[in-house]
Amino acid sequence: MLRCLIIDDSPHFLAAARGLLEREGVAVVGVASTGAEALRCVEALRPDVALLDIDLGGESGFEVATRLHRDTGPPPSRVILISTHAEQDYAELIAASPVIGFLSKSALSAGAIRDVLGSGGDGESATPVNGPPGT
Amino acid sequence: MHTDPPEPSATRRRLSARGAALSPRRRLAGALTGLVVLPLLTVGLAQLRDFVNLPSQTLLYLLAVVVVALVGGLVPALAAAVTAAVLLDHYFLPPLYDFAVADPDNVVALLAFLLVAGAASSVVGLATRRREAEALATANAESREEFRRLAREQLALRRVATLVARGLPPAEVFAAVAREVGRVLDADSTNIVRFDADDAATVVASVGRRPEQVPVGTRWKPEPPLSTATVLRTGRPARSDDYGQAAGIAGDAVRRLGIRSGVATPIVVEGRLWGAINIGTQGEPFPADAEQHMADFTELVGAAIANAEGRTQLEESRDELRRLADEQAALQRVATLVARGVPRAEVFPAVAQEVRHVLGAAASMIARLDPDGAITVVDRVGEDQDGLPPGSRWRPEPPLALAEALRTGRPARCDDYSHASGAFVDATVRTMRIRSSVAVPIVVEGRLWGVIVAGVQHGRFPADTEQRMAGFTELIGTAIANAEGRAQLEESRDELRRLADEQAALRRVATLVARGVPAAEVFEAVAHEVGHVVGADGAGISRLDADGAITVCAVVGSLADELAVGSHWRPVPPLALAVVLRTGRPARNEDYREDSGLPPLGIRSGVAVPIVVEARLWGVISVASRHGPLPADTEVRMAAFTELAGTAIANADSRAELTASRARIVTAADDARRHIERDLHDGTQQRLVAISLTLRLAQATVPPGLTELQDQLGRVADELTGAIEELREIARGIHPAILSEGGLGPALRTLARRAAIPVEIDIRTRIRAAGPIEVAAYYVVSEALTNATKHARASCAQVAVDQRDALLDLSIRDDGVGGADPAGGSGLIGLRDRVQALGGSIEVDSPPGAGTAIVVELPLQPG
Repeated sequence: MLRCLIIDDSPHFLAAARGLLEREGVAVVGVASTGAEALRCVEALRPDVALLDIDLGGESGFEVATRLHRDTGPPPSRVILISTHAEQDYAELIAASPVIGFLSKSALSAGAIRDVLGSGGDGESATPVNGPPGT
Repeated sequence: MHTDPPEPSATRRRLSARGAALSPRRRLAGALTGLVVLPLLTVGLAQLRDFVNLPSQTLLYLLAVVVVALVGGLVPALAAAVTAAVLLDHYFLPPLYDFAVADPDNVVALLAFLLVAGAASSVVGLATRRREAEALATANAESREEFRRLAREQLALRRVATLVARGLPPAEVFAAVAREVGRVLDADSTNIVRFDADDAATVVASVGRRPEQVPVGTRWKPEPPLSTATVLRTGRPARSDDYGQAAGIAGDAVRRLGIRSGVATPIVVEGRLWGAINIGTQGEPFPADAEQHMADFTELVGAAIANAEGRTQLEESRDELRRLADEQAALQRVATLVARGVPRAEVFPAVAQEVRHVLGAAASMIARLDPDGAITVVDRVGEDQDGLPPGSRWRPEPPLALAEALRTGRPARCDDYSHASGAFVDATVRTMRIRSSVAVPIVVEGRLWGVIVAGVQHGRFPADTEQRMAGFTELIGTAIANAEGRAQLEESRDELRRLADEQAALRRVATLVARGVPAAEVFEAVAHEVGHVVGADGAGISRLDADGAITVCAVVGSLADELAVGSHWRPVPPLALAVVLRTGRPARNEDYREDSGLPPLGIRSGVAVPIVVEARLWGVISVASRHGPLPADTEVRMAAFTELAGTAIANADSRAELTASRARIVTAADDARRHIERDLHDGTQQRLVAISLTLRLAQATVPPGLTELQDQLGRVADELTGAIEELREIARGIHPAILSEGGLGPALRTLARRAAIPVEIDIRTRIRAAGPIEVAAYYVVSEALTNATKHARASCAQVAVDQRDALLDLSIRDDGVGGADPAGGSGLIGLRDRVQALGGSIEVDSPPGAGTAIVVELPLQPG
């Protein structure tokens, strides 16, 4: 079973996401709402993948992602950025970030996670999951 | 010339040739004598018949015949003899009273009587005729003599007349007249005198045996018994034969000359008694007609004098005319100089020269009266004037003419320097040997300006000299007044130019103020203009700080090296700056000896005026000179600049406040939008996403078979996802979250990716500007790309971002139709407001058909 860590500052989202993913067969081994908490959880739980919100309260998800990549492991943890924003808004930053992909929060599902892991699990670049919005 | 006197023989010969007849008048007289004497004798003898005998009677008749012969000559005597014989026969020879002669003896007697009577008549008649002839001859000779005298006299008169007509000087005419008169009248002494106004007589000519006794020029008062005195009194000829009582020098002279008789006749010139001709003789008195003879000469003398006077007057008037012409020409020359407005320095020597020339003076000088009563030599011409250089100052004292003229303000003269003393006298009168001088005051517009003075070494100036100099003094006065007027004009022109300069400087500063250039720039300009306008070596503007010290805001000129902008110091009195800070009023200082807190700047004069901004002493404008006192009106002229500076500061303050408040408003709006976007994102969106996930969980949880419910839940989830998408777009419109997250570069690139047309983007900086700046830049590019797409129908666009100093440069260009009007609506106005509110600038260049270029400058920090 895929072990997953969700890092988000919105308790509503955490609860909904955990319920949905577990229902779909993903083991949510932990949740974090800050960068520091996320680092500790990754160290302690060694999840297969960390879902990291780009807007982590006052923190930047990109920075937390960089820290997770730099400070955990080896092997470095695999991080998927999530956001209510469109991927295109952050495409440049996502591309520059040491994450394996991006998922729109509203499109979150076990299948979507597996798709990201499957397509770019070992790569640095993420595969767009949904098409360019607004076009 | 002289006719020889006739010889006596010639006279006789002429007499005989003339025959024996006496004049008819004498014959008639003889006849009448006979007619009277014979009857009387006859009557008498008839009465005395008894006592007188015949011989006696005969003899008596014979006597009567002789008498008739003596009176009437031969012819009446013969007639008388016959008559006497008849009467004798008739009355005394018997027969009495009968012509017959009784006694033959008596006949013989009668015959004898007739013979004797005839002979006697013949002899007596002859004698009478001879005597008559001799008398005639004598008379002839006399009249001949008279004629010769007349001829001589006429000759003399003619000679004199010739002299008169030739216009010889009166003195020569007088001498000639005296000579001629003396000769004509055979005088021993002749002189001509002129009667003077005081009734004295002056000898103008003297000839004779000893003319030195009455020399020409002798002057005396004629008193009786001198004939001259009578002439003087009566105006008529007079003579004197007794000089015994004659007094005075004339009397002495008369006695020395031995004059015993004299005649004087008046000389009348044009109706007035001019003088007299006097003649004197040591012998018999002059003939009675001497006066008459002299009269002709006195007339000539009168004519000569009248001539001479007329000629003299003519000469004088001719001289006067020439002099006047010279003077007029001189005045004209000077007047021309004055009219041409040549400098006074040229007019003065010309006037001095002309005055000297016109007056025939040895020297002339123009001097100016100084306020202290001394004079300054302005110019002078003449000899030996080394001691009197132009510019030298003197204090001349009376009796010098110029001292008098300056004291009284009227022309003055000095002809006697014996009591004059002082340096001026030594330098002029003594050195130049001036004997007489005339000074005339120069009056300029009613005020005594100075004096012009001329001096001569010989003689004295004529009486009209002052008058003649007056014309020149008037011209000098005019020249001076002209020059002063011109100087005033120049001054007022300078003043106008200065004012114009000042106004221009003020306008330049005002323009800067109005354009709202930064205060520092205005300060620099004000300092520059003030320094220039007041002619200072340096100028500065200092701000009063809260601690009472000052900070230099601007400095120009020679002070700039020593007092840097930004330097902070505390001025102390007597520095004008310090005084202004204490009193709030303009101040000046010209004493920099004491320690003033300034570096040694070599300043000699400083003026400072306060800059008041909204009733508060803001600072000071100060100017400084290293070359002596600044002009007295410096403070006044700086005042206008301080007002402008104050306005500029106030403007800058209020503009800064406005800008800040605009920036605050923009920033506040941005903040509010960011917060809204944040709140939407963190709140509503998260909740909706959570709901969406929960819904999908619920959908998955619905038991199979409840297909309808599953479908409904699926549709709701899809709807929800759509709503979430929409909300996401709305949030992005409210605030681009990417800006906060990734900065301008990623945000702009995102914009470019999202644009409907290809956008070439060139970002050359990674620097992060302030939030409102990045937001503004983002919106500028966003709006520009929207324009390019929507309105300009462009096919592509380029965006460039660069950073220069503290500015962010943005440019957005497209290849669209152009024609965008930043004032004509569209989102460009909002952009402009946003950019300007943040202290930036935006330029839109959008010529029709040539695309649109928008260039924006934004400060990295708003303000």
